[in-house]
Amino acid sequence: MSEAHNGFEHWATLMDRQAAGEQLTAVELAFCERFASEHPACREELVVYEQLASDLDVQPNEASRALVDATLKRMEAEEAKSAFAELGLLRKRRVPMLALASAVAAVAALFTLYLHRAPKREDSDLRMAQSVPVSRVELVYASGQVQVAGEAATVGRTFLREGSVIETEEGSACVLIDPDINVCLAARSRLRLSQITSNARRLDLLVGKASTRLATQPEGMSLSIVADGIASTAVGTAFSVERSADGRAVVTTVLNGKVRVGHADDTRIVTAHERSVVLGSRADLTSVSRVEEAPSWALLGPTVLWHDPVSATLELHGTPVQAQALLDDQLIGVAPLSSLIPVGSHHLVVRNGEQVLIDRELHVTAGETAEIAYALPAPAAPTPDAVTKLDAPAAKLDARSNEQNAKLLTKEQLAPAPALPEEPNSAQAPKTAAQWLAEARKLMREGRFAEAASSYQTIMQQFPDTETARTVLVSLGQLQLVQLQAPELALHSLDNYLTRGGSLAEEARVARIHALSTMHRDADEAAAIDEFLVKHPRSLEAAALRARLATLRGVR
Amino acid sequence: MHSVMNTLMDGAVAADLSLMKRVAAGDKHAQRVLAHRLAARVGRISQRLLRNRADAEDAAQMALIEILRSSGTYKDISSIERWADRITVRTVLRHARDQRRKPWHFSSLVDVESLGAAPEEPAQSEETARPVEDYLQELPAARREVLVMKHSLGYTTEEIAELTDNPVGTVKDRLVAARKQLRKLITRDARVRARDLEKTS
Repeated sequence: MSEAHNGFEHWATLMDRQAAGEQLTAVELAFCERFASEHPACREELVVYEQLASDLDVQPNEASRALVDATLKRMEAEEAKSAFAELGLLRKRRVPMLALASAVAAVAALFTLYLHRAPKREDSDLRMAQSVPVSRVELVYASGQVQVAGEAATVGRTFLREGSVIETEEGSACVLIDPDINVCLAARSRLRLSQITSNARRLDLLVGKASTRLATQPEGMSLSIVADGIASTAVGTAFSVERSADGRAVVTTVLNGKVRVGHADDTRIVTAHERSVVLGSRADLTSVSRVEEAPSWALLGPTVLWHDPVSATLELHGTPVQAQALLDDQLIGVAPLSSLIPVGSHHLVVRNGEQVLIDRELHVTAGETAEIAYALPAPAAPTPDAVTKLDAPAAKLDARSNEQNAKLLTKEQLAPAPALPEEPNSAQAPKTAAQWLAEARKLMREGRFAEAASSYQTIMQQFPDTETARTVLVSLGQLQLVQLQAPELALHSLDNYLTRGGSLAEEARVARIHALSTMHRDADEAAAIDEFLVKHPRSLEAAALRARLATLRGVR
Repeated sequence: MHSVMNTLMDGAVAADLSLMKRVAAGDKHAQRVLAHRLAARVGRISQRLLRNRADAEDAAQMALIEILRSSGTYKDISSIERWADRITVRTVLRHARDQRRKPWHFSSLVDVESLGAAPEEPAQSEETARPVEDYLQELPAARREVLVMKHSLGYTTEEIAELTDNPVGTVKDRLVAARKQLRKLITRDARVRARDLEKTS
């Protein structure tokens, strides 16, 4: 160890002691002052603490004004609600006994009448089934590679029937079932519409993950998602069901309302913000944080696109696949994409990483289909994107007035695409890794996780030999694990980092353990913890991991 | 001069007391004035204590409501800001506790977002490459909380212990652990920056 290193360690220890409330001697204080003035590393640390101490008194700004408005509104709503509740309570207390007696008498009379006139149970059930209209089941969203019964699926053209199997590769899909049931399927998942015409609708999750959000169902109707014999039955709610990679565990996460989970005769109620994990005969119930719920909500994100039954269809395809589509500044999926969208004017942006392929206004009317093709512009003469309106010739597509690189074409005009004159100011200096990184951080802060992942991947592709490219593997791994809930991908990124080695090995190993835990690979998780404890015995995480290891070994 | 300062101070204190009495009496205008005065500070504290932005906004709203509802308890022994800080911290920590009821799951993940990801070119500031918020984001919740309470709000370890319902020893341990982790992040940033700089030059 060098003298400077020892000096820094000593300085750091003294500063920590002082922060914890200990009085330093005059000699120690003098050492700290002298050492810090001579060493940039100390200065960097002190600047961080100065920043921490200095800028709490921020001036009122737009965000703080919005906070005030939201707070006062919330306060008013809470007060009104509590006043209403109080009023309701008072009214209840004042129910006259006479009215109560009348009500009891009326119920008794009705019950007697029912006993005389009620049909047999079978007839009643039959009548109920007949009174329920046949459900409409529609594919309303398909992003990436989606198949129904082995055929590539397209919104508005793929017919779903009882028994249909929807399968996703890299992408996601959503179906809308009357009345107002949205079911979205994550990447690499398979779902069978087992019963959709009876009152007890049943969907079988064969592989992967499905999230659902549904309105309160009419009396007598229910929705169950069944995975490996474990049924998750909704009671007006939002929830997700996921099968572990090895297919052994069924994980039900309840986002809103209540869900009944279990085998036919052995069920339990799981309420909002709880997660049930059923593994063989063992069932565990744990609380889930908002962060852990986020990926399930994200899967349901596109459902806002078809809230209004009066809708149009957007079809987007081109090269490269996996280009991101943003409608009105919201990421709606990756291409090829086929989705219902609200009628009216929209702002559509398609981009490949940071490169904007389409940026234009889009106007759609009820029932029409806007088919949009895009392509990567050639380096010398950029190829414009092209738009074809198939079902509504009268529909209007407005190019943005300032749009230079996009041109509307009919399908016949699509090929060969004409070259546009080069923009004098369009030549932009390529982004540096630092700029990509700043972009990724910004996207993370804004909760745009898929785009952040794309930025990280761009760094790895464009700057493969830099230290940054290596270290972002850990960031990417964590992002894939926590926000994108793709533990397999996370494991790949983290293993990739650990194979190459680096100073983030400790963090990478912790994340790797979490990934294995998420995938319920108990034996691998235990082995990973063993390895971690050997390599990082003095880690701040060591105690928690030892406890986790004991639990794992106890379980097994 | 001394007496002028005292008079001004007395005037400010009296104005604050009067404002708080009006808020406590349900004066809507006074509530709005107080909320505007504290919102930016409450928002910043909440953001520093919580990693998730949506949680921070939610907790900041709850803290402001709590402040407005507690205005009757204000005494002129400290500034409104210091008084409001304690309510903010308590409310935000309560919110944070509600959010993480699981003992070991993801909460212990250190967010290394951009940890080694230092800029390719020399940082604009010679002293730190990243804003302090970025570093705070990367600390586990318990450590971030004590660090913010100590270094942003200036509380003693005893005060932090009282606010967090933890023994003083635990607070000290967490504070030292937080500082060590922060130091590691800063040092690593500098090292990665230097390596990348070396490669590009």
